[in-house]
Amino acid sequence: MLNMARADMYRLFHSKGFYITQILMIIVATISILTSTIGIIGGGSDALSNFQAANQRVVWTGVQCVKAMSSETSALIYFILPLFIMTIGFEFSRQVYKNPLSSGMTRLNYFISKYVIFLLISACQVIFYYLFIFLAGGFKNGFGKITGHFLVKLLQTSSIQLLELSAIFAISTLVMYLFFSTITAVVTTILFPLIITVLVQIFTKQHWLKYFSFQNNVDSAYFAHYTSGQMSQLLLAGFGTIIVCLVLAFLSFRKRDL
Amino acid sequence: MMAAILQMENINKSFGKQHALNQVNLTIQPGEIYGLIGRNGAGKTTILKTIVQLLYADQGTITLFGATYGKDYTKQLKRTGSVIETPVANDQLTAQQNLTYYCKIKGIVDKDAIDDALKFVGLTDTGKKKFKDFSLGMKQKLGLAIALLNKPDFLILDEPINGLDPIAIADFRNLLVKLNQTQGMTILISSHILEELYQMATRFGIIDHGTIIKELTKEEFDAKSREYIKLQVDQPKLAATVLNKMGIEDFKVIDQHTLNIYDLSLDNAALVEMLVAASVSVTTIVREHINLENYFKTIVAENEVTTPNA
Repeated sequence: MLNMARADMYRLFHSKGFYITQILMIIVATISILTSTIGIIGGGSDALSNFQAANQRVVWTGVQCVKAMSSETSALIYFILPLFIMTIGFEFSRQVYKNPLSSGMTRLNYFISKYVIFLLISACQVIFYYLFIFLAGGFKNGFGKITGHFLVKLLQTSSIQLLELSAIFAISTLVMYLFFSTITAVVTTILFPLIITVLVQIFTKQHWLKYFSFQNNVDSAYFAHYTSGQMSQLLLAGFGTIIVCLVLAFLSFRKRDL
Repeated sequence: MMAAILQMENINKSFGKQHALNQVNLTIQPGEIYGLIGRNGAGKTTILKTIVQLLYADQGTITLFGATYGKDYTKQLKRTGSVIETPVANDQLTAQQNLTYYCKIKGIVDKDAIDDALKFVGLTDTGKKKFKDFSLGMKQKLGLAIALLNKPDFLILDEPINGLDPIAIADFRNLLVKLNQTQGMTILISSHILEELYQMATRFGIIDHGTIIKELTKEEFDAKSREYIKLQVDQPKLAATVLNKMGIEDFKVIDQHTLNIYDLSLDNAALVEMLVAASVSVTTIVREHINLENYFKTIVAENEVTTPNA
């Protein structure tokens, strides 16, 4: 797995697409910071709108940038998506998987390696995002007061966000392995969260649905107050989705004719 | 006798209702260059993919370097190198970068491995040209270089000379022969460019409708492909009697008009004279020899006759 990780990082750092993605993310984040404005992709809840409105009335220090912009972290879906394509998608669309699989790598090893590498890359992207907005906000308006509570809250928020983003991409991974189609996986990644958001707004009495509204959960991770029961359900929905999707993806891949 | 590199026993593989492989038996000994011959769709690629586990056989046993099942088999695949169907690599990387990528995957730390592989296949001067901009010949060469990175004991190549120009074909053939002769590498190569295959293979397997219908060594083929006199007449039975009277026994009646005479000491003019005297009308008398392509066509045609529903 370590060999595959080293190889994939090498490939990523030699891809123009990687640098273009990072530059676009920096541009979007910079525009938000310079204009002190944040938005919601694909709807969102009233609580999210209120949180964003409240944040637009204060000075965006580094700390404040992190708090405010945590509510548009779902934009990372679009900045992780190219990395998903470069790490997993190209393997299938260009049949590059043939080389390692035909020279002694087991399908399980290949599958786990690819997913773990993608997960690490996603985590790095989340860290890079927060680090950039903290520094950019800090250089613009000062860094603000970094308290222990803020750091704990940031760690909790980013962990939940990574879980929810991973759940979205676990569904993309399943689609990728089922259909071997990058386009289908990309469309699913974009449409699935939006569809769930719409369903949550239509079926307001189906409370369980909101735990699968991964995009909304990403954006509200900082300010949402969960009871321990709600947190358990949130984690169960996230981890459950990931495990179910990955198991199904592997089962379809394990004996598939390639 | 040394243990076989590869042994396939009674392999069956279907795709839905279509039987792609039917009771395939194939053995490859160390040091051989095994040429797998067959028409498009005969099952060549399916056999190769089954060996490298891109496909799994429905029935039968495959033994590779003595390992038959599970992890042991997969482990032995590390001793192979393969290019199946079209060569694949990362589009956005150069030849050198692609080899670096695969060195990392295969855990190869030898710093010279990349330069050696590039030099061996003649891709040292591609510079910053990316794989997506390579010609088919360059892609084939890079595919071979990737397959050779870990210095495999067994090389598996699927139609490697398809789409190459004549010079590139000759280069490729020389590369493979060099690998076989200098490194003792065993090679399994499928192709339907039979004259090329003839020049490098030491043994041939003919596959038709998913079944190996004939296996023979190059020596055996050469014995079959000896020169002969092709005689076409209106009455072959009468012609055969004339030949017997002339003391010639090494001949074969092929069809209603054709006889192949393998005794090359025969005086053609005297034969024609004898035949005409016996009221046999001669339409053709010419020296010929069976090449691999003709032999392949004959074997496949015979197979069609004996198994018409195949």
